[in-house]
Amino acid sequence: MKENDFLSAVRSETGFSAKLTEQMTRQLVEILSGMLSAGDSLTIHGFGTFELKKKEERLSVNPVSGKRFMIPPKRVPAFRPGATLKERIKNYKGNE
Amino acid sequence: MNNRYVLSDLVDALVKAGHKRRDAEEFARVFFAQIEEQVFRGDTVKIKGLGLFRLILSGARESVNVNTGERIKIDEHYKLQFLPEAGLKEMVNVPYAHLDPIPLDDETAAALAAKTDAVSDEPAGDTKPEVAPAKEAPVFEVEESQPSENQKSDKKGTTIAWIIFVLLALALIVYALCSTVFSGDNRNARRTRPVVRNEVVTEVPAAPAAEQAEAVQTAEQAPAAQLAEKPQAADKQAPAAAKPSEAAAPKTAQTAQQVADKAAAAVDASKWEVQREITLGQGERLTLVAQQYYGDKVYWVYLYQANRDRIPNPNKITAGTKIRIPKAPASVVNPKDPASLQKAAALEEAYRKQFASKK
Repeated sequence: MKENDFLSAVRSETGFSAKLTEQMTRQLVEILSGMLSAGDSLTIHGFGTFELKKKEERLSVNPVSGKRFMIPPKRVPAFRPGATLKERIKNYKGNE
Repeated sequence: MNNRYVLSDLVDALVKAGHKRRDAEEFARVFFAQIEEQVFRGDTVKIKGLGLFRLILSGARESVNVNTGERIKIDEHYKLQFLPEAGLKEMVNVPYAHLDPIPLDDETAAALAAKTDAVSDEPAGDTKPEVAPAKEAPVFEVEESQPSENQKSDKKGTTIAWIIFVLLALALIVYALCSTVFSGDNRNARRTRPVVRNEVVTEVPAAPAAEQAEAVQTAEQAPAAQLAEKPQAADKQAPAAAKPSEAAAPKTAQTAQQVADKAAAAVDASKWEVQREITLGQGERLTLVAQQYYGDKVYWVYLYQANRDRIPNPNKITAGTKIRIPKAPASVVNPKDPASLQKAAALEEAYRKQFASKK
């Protein structure tokens, strides 16, 4: 599903104009990524939590050359479903 | 840092961006509800700048109850997957973006593996005194000396300092263990050193004499260096172990500096014409400045050369330091020329050794 389809679904729910929806989406994404970059988390009740995960440095081996590497630590964005959403996923049996 | 925002904070931010509160509230609510709806419809929801959401089927598998050790069967089930977009990943990872994977030789890898063992063996290692020489820490040393600047939080700084401290303590333990186990291996260590050195010599073509001299000197200074866990470990720990103060360091430091200088040969950035002067802000370091002005972070070595009088230790640069940015001749600084990069890398290696003991 493309973003446009998603936005039109949002539009039909809210009744907002295409321009406003698009603008708000961009702003929302911007705010959210700003929060994540700053190391903060955003919890949407009933949906889940957007947060930052720190991955420690680790050793890795190139399978071809057998050479070992030290992979530096990094930070990655992550999403964790909340309780309500989890429950719903648990009961979801596919889309047939 | 570590703030936990909720939906209403998001709405506030949207209001600040110039929307009516009622619109913002409705939009935020519908936005996430729609992601959920679409995902349960079996669609993949892609949002530009954020990433994609989808439900994926996770097959049935066997697992073990961690409490009872019983084998249990996990039925196949769906999982919500969120794959962040590359742009978002990059943005979030900015504080670590300058780190590259470091290729390791076998010795180093073994030493690191040993370190991990030590963690499980002796978790109380942090009670050891701080004289521990930096044995394995130098792997990400130049970069990690100021890792926390981007967040202005002290908390992170403390954590990093704590981690470094624990690493140091672990290094000491590993080292102590090894020296008791392998005492008598002394000669091996001495033999190892010149071999390791030779590798460096090939990198630093101009300075075989100084290298040799240094190798001998450090080997002698290092009666305790039975286990050269790391190629550079011995010459770092030799002075540090003899006298943990800086008083002992300068000898090695000086030789290392000679090496560096010779490697630089004609290159001496301190003689270059100064292009401009900048004041380092919070979170800036030489590598970042070099990236900005010279196109590659490895050229920080020339920045350091040009500012030796102001920077006693390139691993520890305080915010507010004024540094000169010299105009670099294209023959020396050219990120597209592998030879130039190599030369800078050789210098970097030399400086790393020089300052490793003064961490």
